[in-house]
Amino acid sequence: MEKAAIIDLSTEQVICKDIPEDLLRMYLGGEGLNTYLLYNHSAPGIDPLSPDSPLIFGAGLISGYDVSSSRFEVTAKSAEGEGGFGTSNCGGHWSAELKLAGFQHLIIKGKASRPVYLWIHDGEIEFRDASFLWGHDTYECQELIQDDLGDTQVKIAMIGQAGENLVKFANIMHGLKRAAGRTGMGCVMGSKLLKAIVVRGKQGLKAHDPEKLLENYTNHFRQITSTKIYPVISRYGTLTIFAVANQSGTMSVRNNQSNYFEEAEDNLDDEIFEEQYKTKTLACYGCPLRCSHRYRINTGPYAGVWGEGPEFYMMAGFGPAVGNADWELILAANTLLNRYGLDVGSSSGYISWLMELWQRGIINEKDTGGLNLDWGNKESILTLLHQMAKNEGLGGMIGQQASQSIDSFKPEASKYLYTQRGMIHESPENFRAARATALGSATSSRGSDHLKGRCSLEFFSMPPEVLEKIYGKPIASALNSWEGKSWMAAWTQNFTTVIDSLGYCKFATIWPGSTHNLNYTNFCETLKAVKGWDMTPEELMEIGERVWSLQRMFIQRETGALRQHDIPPSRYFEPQPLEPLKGEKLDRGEYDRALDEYYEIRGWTKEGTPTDETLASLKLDKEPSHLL
Amino acid sequence: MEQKTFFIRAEFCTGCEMCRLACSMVKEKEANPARARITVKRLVMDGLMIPYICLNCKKPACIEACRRGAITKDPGTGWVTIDKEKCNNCTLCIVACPFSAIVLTPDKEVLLCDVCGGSPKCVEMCPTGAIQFASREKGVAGSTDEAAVNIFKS
Repeated sequence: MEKAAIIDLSTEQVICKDIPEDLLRMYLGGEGLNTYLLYNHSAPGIDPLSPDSPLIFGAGLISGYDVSSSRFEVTAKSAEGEGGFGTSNCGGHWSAELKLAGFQHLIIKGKASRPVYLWIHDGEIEFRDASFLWGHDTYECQELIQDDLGDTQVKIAMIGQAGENLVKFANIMHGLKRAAGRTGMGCVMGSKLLKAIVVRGKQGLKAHDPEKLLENYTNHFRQITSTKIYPVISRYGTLTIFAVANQSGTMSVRNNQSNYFEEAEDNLDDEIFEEQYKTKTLACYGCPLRCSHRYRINTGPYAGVWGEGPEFYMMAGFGPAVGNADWELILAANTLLNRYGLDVGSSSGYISWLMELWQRGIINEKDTGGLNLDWGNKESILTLLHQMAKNEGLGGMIGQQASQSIDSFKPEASKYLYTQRGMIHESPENFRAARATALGSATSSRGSDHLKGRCSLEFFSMPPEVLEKIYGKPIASALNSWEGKSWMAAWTQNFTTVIDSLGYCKFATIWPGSTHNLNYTNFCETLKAVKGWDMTPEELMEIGERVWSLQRMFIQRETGALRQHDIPPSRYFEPQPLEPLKGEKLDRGEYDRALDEYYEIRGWTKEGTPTDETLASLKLDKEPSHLL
Repeated sequence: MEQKTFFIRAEFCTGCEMCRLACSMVKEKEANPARARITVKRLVMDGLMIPYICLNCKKPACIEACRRGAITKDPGTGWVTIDKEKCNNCTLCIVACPFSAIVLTPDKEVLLCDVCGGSPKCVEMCPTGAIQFASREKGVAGSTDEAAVNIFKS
């Protein structure tokens, strides 16, 4: 029986509850059940940083059972955006360990009277003093906790100084690089004086049909490792996306002013990382993909810097987005971000925005405290990161105010800050040529979210019959055609929501563009073996829709604003300046028609609100309910 | 008769624990790495992932240490196995094993790999080939360069 613990940091009391089977069938676990819990456990209009604002951790429902199902979700009211839906998904070894320790969901309320960490093991939850950890970065923190508990095999989710100092885009970190990023989950954790959640589990996970589970486990392993994408992703991870994105003209360069970064040629690619910096390949729990890399810089100004990561997102965010073509600066920044617990997309987004303001003369040395913000200025980039985490100077102001910091500059500064629902546009992404992805990212619950909206199959000019087989409806092969793209966006959002609720990694599924990877039928097989449920792909898709519409209800309840925030950055409506895909842009009329179509598919009004009929058909008409 | 045993190349181990998950599913009918017959020491800060499994030594120290005669080595296959009927979980074998290969579960039970009758699931499920099951004649047990040349070069 899956268990949830309601943990009150103010009173140091814990209530454990069995999660009703009906609720699991409606929301699975991870993101799905987290959404339900957030909707029902937070008072409408609450300040995300107030003690009563709940911070919810949820392991994927089948996390720990199947291949590549290592992921957990952290959900709270967004600290970074404008009071909307905050959520983030994270891999590593923490999720399975939480389940082995006896819990699937943690609902954390209140605020500790001094820094604490939670020690969760074998059904027990202890509150432990974390004063000795406060002020330490995530790397130091892990060593100190291992020492404190006398156990080297514990799994730790924690905040760095960024979370302690309430940076609006602080992450919750796990291991040396795994991050629950965007929407400031680390900021919410810091506001509760909660430094870390340490788990260690020795309880077995019992499946409904162990023989079948073993068979699925073996088959899914073979399936994942026989795809065409496997040799590439297990060698380079997501870094391999970089050259493809740049050479196809879909890169975001200098705050999205351009779409191709010439300086990257021969400087930034996955092969250079592999040859010069990579020292070790590592994997999440139960995952053959091993997309994580250790690195070390041996010479030059950053000699001695080591860490883990980086992803495409980091490479593009601290590469073209800020006008830098030096791999070593990217790695040095990556280590800093992971140690401090800062978000990549947001921090590089704000830096690239500041640099464009500098380029246009909207800010000068008086505004920057003496920093020179020329594109690619390495020293300034690293200084801004230190400042953000420590709440000092210009970087500190940005970290504390996020998108509200426009008030500190001349009015024209806001023209170059691209936000949705108060979330800065993900700096590495430029989706204006990709119609389904532009729509899917823009309509995502947390705002500007490639992890929900990226329709990767759109980028490969797949034959229409293949697309129709997957999506069940006609979809145009062309990247810049709108035909079928509203459906593709909604389908992808539902799919990724189901994945994040089950705990699978997106890279083990068809999501990144490998049609032979895990799909709904495989998820159903696992659910049958683990839970004994006879679920159909259609039922799983409906769960995705249900969760998505409930997130919409939350956003409506907390902010009221819907359609006006479902529009991509204004720059997406301007033509791209360079080849390839020169002149490509979104047309506002076309976009609005696609958005109408998208709302219709979802059963929402023209303003983007779920209709009463939709709520009834998704069994959301009784919300809020309090089944848990 | 050809004798097969395990060869480990820790350098290739990514710490994914697929071997342990597979082992516990086969032997315990549940997903429970703590009861797997193979362990992986994960030194996260150092980036070192080190698998341990019974190497079926030619002259097993565990057999000498056991006072109940619970551990035996099959002269034909060369495999070292434990008879749980005779074992009283005293852990003397664990202390004696120079390869840290015998497992003590959280509830203090001693477990030893039985090579799944000759086709070990952990080897099948290792994505990087960090653990191999091959003829002892191919190299020497342990992660030496000699073993690497003969066994791990695909």
